[in-house]
Amino acid sequence: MLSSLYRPRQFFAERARVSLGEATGIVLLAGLAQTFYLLFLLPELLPRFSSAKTLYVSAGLLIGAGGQILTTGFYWFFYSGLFHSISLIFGGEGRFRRTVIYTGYGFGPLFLAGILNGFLSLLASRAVDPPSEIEAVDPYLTDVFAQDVFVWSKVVVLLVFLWQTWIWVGAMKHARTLSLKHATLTVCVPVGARIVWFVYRSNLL
Amino acid sequence: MSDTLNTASLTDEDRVVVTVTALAVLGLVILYGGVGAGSTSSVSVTETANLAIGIVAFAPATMAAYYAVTALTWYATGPALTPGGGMKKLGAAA
Repeated sequence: MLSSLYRPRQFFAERARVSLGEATGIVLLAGLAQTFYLLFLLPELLPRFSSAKTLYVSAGLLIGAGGQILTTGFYWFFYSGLFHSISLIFGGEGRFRRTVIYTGYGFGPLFLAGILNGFLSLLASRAVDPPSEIEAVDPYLTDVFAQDVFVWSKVVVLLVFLWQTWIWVGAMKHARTLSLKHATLTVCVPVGARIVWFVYRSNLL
Repeated sequence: MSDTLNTASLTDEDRVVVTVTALAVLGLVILYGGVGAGSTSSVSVTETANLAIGIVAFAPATMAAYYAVTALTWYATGPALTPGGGMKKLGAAA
């Protein structure tokens, strides 16, 4: 399964049967990794509050974390839908279920990005004073994620997009029985749009 | 292999995937345009929570919009062109 990260085309060519269980596991791990930063921020935040407020702050952050896991799951189906739809133009064949399974393998790099983001949040949190009022939690998090060190996070996110593109090209070639050129077009159009949108919103240029 | 979409070869599943995906793209553009206005941070808990709420609220809206489009298509063109069993009905009648 790990070879899908660094030899995607060979991986999908050799694996006659990829599994929904494996794909779901990869997406779930990727989603959980997006909440990894809470492991570092919660110990900074919670000792500042009384027990009643601790419960409130914890619940709020956990709901946000649950939202991030749900968002990762949503993007799994969203990208699957985009790849399935675009590949129809190139005569792509196969059920949507197959597209969903193969697309799931492309979420592996997100796991590494989430872990790195967690460590960056640990570094960034040291430069910001933790709040003692509930109303100040959100500005605190905004300040933490606005630290200079998170420029590296944005660079990593861009690299992860490119890495995912590489995996998905191999995946769509085999999932939808496409030529390499058509698989590349199928994947690069939506992911390219996402990269442009990300760069625009991140003020990277 | 032609690079032109032959709609006659699409299955019902393909049609549903294309319709729901198109609506999801539209929804995301509206959602991100509203939630993300003025924000420059790539990671925000409140933004993500808002997005999650939006997605939960958006799912029934997506299905409602899909059925609305199907009903309008049926009204405008008759059952033969609607996604679903329209073609079967036509075939059965013939």
